Amino acid sequence: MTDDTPKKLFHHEATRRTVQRDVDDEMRFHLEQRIDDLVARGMSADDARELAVREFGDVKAARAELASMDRRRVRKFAATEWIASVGQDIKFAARSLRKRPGFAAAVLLTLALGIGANAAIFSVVEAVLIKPLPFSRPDRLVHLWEVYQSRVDNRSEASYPDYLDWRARNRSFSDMAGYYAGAFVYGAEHPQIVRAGKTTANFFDVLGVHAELGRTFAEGEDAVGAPRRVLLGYGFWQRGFAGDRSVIGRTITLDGTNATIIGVLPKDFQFARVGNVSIWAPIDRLDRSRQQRGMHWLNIVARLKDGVTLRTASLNMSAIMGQLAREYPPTNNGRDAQVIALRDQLIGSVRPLVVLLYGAVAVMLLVACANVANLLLMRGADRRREVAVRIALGAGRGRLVRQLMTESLLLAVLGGAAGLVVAHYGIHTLVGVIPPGQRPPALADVGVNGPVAIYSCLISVVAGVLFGLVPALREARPQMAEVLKQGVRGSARAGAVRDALVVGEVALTIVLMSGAALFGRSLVKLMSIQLGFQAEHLTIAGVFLPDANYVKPELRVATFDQIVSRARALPGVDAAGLVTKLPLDWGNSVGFDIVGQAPTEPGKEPTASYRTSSPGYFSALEIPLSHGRDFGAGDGVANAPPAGIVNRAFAEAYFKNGNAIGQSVVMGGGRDTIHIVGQVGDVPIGNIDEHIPPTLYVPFAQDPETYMSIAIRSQRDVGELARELTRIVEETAPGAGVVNPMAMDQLITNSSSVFMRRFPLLLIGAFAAATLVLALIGVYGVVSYSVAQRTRELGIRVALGAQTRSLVMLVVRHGAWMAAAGVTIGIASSLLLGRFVAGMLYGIGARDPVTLALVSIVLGVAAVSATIVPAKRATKVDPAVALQAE
Amino acid sequence: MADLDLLQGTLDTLVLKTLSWGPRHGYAVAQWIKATSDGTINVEDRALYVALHRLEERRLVESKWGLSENNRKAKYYQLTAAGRGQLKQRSADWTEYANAVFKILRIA
Repeated sequence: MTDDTPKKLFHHEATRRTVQRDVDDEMRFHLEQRIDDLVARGMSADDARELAVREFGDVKAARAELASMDRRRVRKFAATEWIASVGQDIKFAARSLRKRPGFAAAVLLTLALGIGANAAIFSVVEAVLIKPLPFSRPDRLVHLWEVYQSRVDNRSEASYPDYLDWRARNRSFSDMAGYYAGAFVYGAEHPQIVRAGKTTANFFDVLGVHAELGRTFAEGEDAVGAPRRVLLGYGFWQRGFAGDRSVIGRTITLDGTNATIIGVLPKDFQFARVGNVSIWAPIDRLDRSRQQRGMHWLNIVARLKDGVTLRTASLNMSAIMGQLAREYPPTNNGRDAQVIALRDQLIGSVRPLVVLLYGAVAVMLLVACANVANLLLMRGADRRREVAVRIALGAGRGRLVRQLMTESLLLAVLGGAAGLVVAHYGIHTLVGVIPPGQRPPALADVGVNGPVAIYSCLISVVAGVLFGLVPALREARPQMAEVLKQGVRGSARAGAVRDALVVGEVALTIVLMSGAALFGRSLVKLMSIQLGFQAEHLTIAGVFLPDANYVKPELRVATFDQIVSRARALPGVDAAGLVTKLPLDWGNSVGFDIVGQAPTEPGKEPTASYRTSSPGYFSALEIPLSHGRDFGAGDGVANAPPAGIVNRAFAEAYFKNGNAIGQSVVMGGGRDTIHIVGQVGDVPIGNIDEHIPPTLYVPFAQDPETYMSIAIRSQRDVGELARELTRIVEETAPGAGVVNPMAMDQLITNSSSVFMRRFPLLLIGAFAAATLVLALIGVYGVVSYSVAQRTRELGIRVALGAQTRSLVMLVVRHGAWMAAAGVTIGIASSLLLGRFVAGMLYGIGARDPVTLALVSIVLGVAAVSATIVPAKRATKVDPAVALQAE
Repeated sequence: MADLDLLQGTLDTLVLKTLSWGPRHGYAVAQWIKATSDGTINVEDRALYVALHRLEERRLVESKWGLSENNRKAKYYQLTAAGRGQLKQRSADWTEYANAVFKILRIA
């Protein structure tokens, strides 16, 4: 029997690769030992071998069996080991962060802002661009337009007869439906105006939307004269009816007549093109509108048949429009149809803005990561001795990198969690900045939801890797001998990495700042447009009379006259006037012929934006009357010749000498001849940055409506005036009401052309400011650190008699060099990226040199200022202390 | 309890017992069991190694490489604390069981 205690033990960790070899070694040892023993007892070598193998059993099977057992064991062991070590890493990382609370706080704050802003914008991206539309199989839905002479900028809604023909003749769609945006006067006692969507009966069937409660419209309910049935939007149902489930079948008053509630739409239903709608009703145009092929008022959505592509459908629609042009040349000549995906139609206009903002927060997050990476690099240099000791004690490089990465990821995850809190508040601020009229319905319930949380987790991890990897690799480099000998002096290359990160930060900051500055300058240019009227100290409101009680035109005129007279008499009111459509409010256009000029082809007659106004309207808005006279009390009364006032654009477009006074026009539909009695200055009728079209005003008494806008010139507070106006209106006309009182400036600020510059300016400006602070912290941190590192060198310089000035310059030059490099790269990037914003600016090029120069100067000065404190510190180095220090 | 399980459990217990005096390599364990049982328990070496590896997987024994008396690389097994506990438990169970069986056989 052999002596069975080991002479010497040695450690050798089995891995999956060495398992088979170990098993073989073990079995070989057994067999050889047995053979030796047997031979020693006098057996022949061959017999001994044979017996040893026989005693062992199936050698081959054993070999495989043992190896597979060991492999299982090694695997299990590795897994538990790994989990334990990760736990250890996390504990270690947490401990090391607790030891440096200042560092941890700086990193967490930076990341919370970076990730938070990113998550907030992502929530908008998710709600607007990613989330599927709340319809059944939304990718099969399209929007249809009529286009004139194949020009997309010349597109219009469909006429009702065209819609009917499209529906009957097409082979591409399973069905199509029509809709348009409208409004109702809702309620009888305290009427208010609510937004409405008006649709053909099959609209919700085409979208594949089912009622949350009750039903949607049935065939025939959109017929002329059918009793009015309506659906409530979910929000309106909650607000106005407290979510009462018994509303179905109840009667409400709309425009002074009864309507029956038949259903409530689901919570997530929204249709961006009509905004936040309270009430959905069947289309209610009269026969006159429905029969005219020249009247374009119906938006069309359609569902593609399975297997039909957009292109096939387009060809099919063009063919149908070709037939219609041959059948009805006066109205349909030159008309074609356009088919576009519904998704593009609904979100196409906001996509560039959302993408731009997302780009801006991505840049901000990159800068945040660069800053954190720098903090880690600097701390890494401080920790070099500790790391060197650990390497000397046998920690592998991979293990060390993992340890350091764990720390970065822990920071990232904690920062991400804090970022979600930032995002939560950020989203609400962000949505709050958007005027209700500009707010896409998709943003109604935006917030930190599942996808946003998952996204934040992902970007936190990505950020952690981004800012942690380089410092970890650098820190874990085995250079112990050198470090242990030299102490904690940073190497030149580590300094270069830190400088490069700061240069990158400055460059990215330039990009954001120049973006913000471009929108800022666009906004300034936009706001300095001559509006053609005085928007300050002007209060505006809508005034409506209940249709049912004011059928007689004379009564409408008398009532509105009384209201505006009493408004003028209010204390502190200088002037007041009425108009159907105020500036910045699109209205109808009319076609007409000019008396004395050759009649034009049908469809090509002169057109003008059309609005009616009361006497005194132009002076209330301070729109200059350049020629002729304003409307007076004698206009619009029986037997008075119909009068009109035109704007300058009208006179210049249609009369050779630019003078319209004394000319006459005949409006389409064979109405009266209008004599032009006055000419006023141009005011924008839609967006303020758009071309102002010819505009024709007629006395409101000549074409009285039940809804007018009132403009009151007064220095007084809007709220007070609104209350007094409401009192006047309610006293003068029971059932009448005032809607949307506001200051005219407010209307301008909330208008889409201003909003589309102001919103990016606010957000990109905020991101740019945050990024600027980060970049300056970056410059400051790196320069301070290098001063601290060079204490010895600076001490020697002082000892050798260096002047304060030259020491300051030494430090400032470092900062200035980084700023200059960053600014150069930043400007180059801005020039490259300019084309993405070019279309969103106003009155300024995306590569505007003045803007870029301005931004560069601001950043350059700020960056150099950030070096002053460390520079001062450099001059205070005491050579004696500095030289003793090491 | 199936025969095989009994056998397997028995073998495990015997291996643990063999290792209770200190680290041994597989060959020594095999020789010791054969010698001590006077050849009564004559299992294939293969089964013995399977038992050793199984015990290692269950962390009842642990292994280290070492040099044998004639300077050969050999894998040495050693009881862990858990193995020691297991041995105590199994020995007690076995004694009790064997006594019971023995008692019955004597009465019969």
